[in-house]
Amino acid sequence: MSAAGCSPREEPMTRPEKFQRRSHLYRVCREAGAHWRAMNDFGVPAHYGDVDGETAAAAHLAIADLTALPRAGYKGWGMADWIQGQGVSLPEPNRALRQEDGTLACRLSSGELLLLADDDQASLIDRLSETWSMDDAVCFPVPRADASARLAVTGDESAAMMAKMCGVDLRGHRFADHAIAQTSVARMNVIVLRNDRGASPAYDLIFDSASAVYLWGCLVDAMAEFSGRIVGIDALDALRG
Amino acid sequence: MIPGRLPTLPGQLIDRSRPLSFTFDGHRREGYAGDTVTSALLAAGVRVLSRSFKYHRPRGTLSAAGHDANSFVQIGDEPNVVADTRLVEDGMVVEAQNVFGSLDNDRARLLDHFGRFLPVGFYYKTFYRPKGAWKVWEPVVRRLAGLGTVNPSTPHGYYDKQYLWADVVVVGGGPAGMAAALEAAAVDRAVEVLLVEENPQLGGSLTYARFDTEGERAARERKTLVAAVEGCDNIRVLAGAVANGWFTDHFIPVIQGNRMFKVRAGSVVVASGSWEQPLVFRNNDLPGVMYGSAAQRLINRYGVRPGGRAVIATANADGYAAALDLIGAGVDIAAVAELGPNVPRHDLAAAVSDHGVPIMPRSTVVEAEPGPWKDTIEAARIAEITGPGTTAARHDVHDCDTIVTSVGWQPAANLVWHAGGRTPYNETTSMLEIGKLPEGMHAAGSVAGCFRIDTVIEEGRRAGWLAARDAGFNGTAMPAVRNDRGETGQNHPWPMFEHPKGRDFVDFDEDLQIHDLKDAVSEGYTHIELMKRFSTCGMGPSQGRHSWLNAIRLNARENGISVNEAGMTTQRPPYTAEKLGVLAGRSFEPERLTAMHWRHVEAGARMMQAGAWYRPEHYGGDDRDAVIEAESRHVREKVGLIDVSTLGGLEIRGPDAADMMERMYTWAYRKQLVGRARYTLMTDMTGVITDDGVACRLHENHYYVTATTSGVDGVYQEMLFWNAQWRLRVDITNVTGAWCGVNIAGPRSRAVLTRLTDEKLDAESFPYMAVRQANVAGIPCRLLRVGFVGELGYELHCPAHSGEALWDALMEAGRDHNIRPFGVECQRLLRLEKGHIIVSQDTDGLTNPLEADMDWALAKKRPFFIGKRSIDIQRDNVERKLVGFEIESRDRDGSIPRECHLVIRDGDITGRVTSCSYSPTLDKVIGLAYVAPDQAEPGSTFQVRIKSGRVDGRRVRITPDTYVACRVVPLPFYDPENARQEPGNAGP
Repeated sequence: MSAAGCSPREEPMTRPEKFQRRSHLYRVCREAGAHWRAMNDFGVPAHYGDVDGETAAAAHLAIADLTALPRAGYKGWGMADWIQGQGVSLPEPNRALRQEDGTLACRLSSGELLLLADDDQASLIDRLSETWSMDDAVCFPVPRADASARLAVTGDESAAMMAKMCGVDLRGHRFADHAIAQTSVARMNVIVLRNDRGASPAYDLIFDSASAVYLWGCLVDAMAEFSGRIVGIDALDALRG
Repeated sequence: MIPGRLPTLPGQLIDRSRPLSFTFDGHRREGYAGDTVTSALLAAGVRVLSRSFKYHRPRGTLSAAGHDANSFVQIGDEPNVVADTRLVEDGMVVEAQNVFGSLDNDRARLLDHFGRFLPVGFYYKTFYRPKGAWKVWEPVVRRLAGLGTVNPSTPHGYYDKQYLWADVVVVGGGPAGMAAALEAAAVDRAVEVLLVEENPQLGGSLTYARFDTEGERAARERKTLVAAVEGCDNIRVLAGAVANGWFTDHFIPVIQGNRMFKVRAGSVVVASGSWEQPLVFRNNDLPGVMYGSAAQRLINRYGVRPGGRAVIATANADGYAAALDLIGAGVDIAAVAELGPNVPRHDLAAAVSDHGVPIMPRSTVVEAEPGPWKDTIEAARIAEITGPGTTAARHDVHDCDTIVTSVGWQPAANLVWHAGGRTPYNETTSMLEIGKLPEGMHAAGSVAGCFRIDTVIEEGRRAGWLAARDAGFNGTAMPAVRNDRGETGQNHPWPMFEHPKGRDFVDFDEDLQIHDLKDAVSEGYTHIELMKRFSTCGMGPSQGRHSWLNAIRLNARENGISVNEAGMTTQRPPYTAEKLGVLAGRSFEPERLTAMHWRHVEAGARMMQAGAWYRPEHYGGDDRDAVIEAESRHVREKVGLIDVSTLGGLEIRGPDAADMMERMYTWAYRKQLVGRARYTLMTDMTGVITDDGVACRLHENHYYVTATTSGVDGVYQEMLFWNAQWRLRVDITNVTGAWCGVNIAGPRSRAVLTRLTDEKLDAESFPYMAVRQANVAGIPCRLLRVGFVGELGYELHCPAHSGEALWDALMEAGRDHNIRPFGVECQRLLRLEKGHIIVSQDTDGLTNPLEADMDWALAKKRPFFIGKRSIDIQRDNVERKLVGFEIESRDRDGSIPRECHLVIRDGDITGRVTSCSYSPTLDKVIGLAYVAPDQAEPGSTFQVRIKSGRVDGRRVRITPDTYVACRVVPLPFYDPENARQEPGNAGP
């Protein structure tokens, strides 16, 4: 892919306002020069005009808005039984486990599960949504798709940068891939998931969507000393290989 | 010979290839990269750095390490910069502080002649009579005794914080600290070691002190240790950083520049060294009197000759080491006054003697004779010591310009003290020594009372090994330590020689002399804590580093008790002064924006904060009242749209959902029909109103409940708290951020909404207080037919990420109907007209539903809801009632009661106003107020006392009390029949 080119799935004329669903961050991404791609009824920042450079930056330090990616949550006293009955493999609390379709099942407690897709293919999330019914429910959907925003912080300097905002030791040798910390980041409640992209360490931050602009600003400020960049989802895909 | 720059010597920290220039007190000065302000000034022959706090006496460097306030200067907007440690920068502008005129010609120096009128604690007993005198004197005293100038307009600096984690933190990068770090790191390569050093370079005493007659050992040891540290992968060095405190679980704030590292350590080695202590004699504060370590720092770090001819007073080997360095720097040594009974037998003393320097045992300097301008030394008077603090009458006078003292050390044990460790006084060594240390903390080096370099390094290694073990690592055998800590005579037991004429300073920061402390005790402030506070000894910027040991000794002697019986005052963090900016760091103030936020901004909204949220107060216009009035008319007459996304949202789901609702809220919900909404009122265990909202029953087992913007988090926590005990089969989820909300209200609202949905909206299909789930503009929404503002209206709740699209669709669909957005203030007015309360505005921390006239919202037949029993108990004892009132006056500026204006009857307070506004719809001033029950009947009148002010020049003048007569009227003020809920009845 050339620096000036577009990803195969990009729609050059896509504007986020064309879609009914809009990340709280679409304006700041637009000001940063985002090129958009349609995904999951969102316009998602695919890249900022320099995919190769962004990919290199993502291996060093970068942030990306993943709010458009599908996610769901379930919680309740019967969550474990019901979700396992749906064929989902459950990890221990505060760990994530990759499912067959690629969805990450993040167990937040014995009775709460967060499901994250790393692309717009979310067969498990869709299937669970269709299966669940209030009539005989023993667990209940948590509207993670709208309650939460999702950001990725990637690269070798990501743990050092996160140390400016978070009191949990997220360094690679202390916080393994697919470990979860439900903690405070920049004085906000944030779910921090170690979710490496290829060989690059990476963290997904899932938090109150209404505070997306605030936390984005904190991250941009914090990563300045490390020469971090804002990147699109294409760079993350490239890192994953 | 004046002080000056020496030829290049090994180990110097300055880079002579990089000359710099700066100004000090208006004079251009030269220096080199690596120079401190102090070293550069001394190299330029400038010895006076500051004026003292109280008497404005000239002061020069004492420690050359910032252990005192003598070197405080102002650099730009930054006051109290420690010149001893601040590196010079090219173009730096350095000013003296606390002077009237110039540093050399400080007019306030005359205060030094009036010292007898300014005894210890004088300001406690001098200025308080006659009454009001202190207000006159206080600014004078403050002006005369200032410390630098704060510029309140200083631009905001960029400060930052960062967490760090380490298995072992070593505080102090001297020989003990480096050895500790190396040993800890060697135990296991997995051990993460953090080495914190206050100076820009590692080495500690090895950068200036002398441990052998040849003067080579220190440099050699430093080179070896530093190379080993730098070559060790699992040691991280933070140089130029101060470990400023110790907190529980080895949480240590480390400040480096504008950043605070919040360090979590597994264990700690304190190798923070020690502070040299002063010899107290007359005029011991003159520029040119300095510690031996100060002279050595100047010589060996910065290549600065401290003076031309020196007298040395010493009680330990360090004084002789300093003498050798001074001799090496070309300084004449007039004499060495040895405070001990004999000339020591160690090699250093012999080497000094070999240079032909006379050594006078059992002697001390008793006075420094000043020059004509009182800012230089002309001679030192030396006398024989006859007892503790006493000397013979005969003095030998030695011409000199410098007096170097080395009479003892105090451990820099702040982190030990912060951690609860003790440092009892050893009467044999005359030193404070570290006692039992807290778990996971170890000490090594001079802070632990060890001054012999070989043993210092060995004890450092052992401390590092122990710390690694405490952090959970084993891998090597514990290093051996020889049982030889060197001589025990580091400290002289009584290095104070009171002079009949005073000016024998114990505390340089506060200008406290020996007799000041004695006077404090004699005035009854005998306890060490009282003496400290009355005299302020140790309360200056250096926090007793150079004064406290002698102060305790004095206190003990005056009280006739031992030093340990006198005890120490409590030492708390921080260790050194820290800037407020460092404590604040980057400002993390979470903000929440609704999905429609930028649409409001684009529409010219004036945004206001509601907790972490931003909400539109009103849209555009400078005349706030006029805009709000126009918005309210628009809603009443046409159609308006308001963003209510900040309202809280909770999902109550499960087979016991109805039971949960009936326990948490005051009304009945079990029989509430699916598809219907019902008002909710929440009280706490004392029956006080805590929140309200609307419950929408979406399924037999599912309620969607709204809560107030500021109350939802508390409501959610309460529900979780109670259900942790009740164990109902119910799930509670706070979905506030998941849903956006808008309220489209006004007689044309149905017409606008009809364009966007297939859902039947007519009165029969979708009646008042009904709830539907339907698509609006293709967006899945929850539609609530509610009437908070008193007009036909619908609340639409949709997934948050579709909020802006829904807003856009409604504004577009309403274009033909002249839809306009309205803000929070308009909504507050409209709901007031409708008589709806706002919890926390029209209620307070004591309001129960009976007082708020909300008896109708209580399920009286139910046996339980939270607060029911308390409400029932209070039913017959209601002391106030919330009523609606109106006044006839239309004078908006002068006579409208404001929130919290008091209801007064016969001079007693019977209530207060909670809401009040001019209603353009009713053309009246209306409001809500608490009044006495016997004032609550419609038609009753009451008086509200109004305080109002007007701006007269720069003063606000409060007008005399004005009373406004208010008449109680039935609620609601507007549309009591609820006729406005149907279009057929709408339209004014």
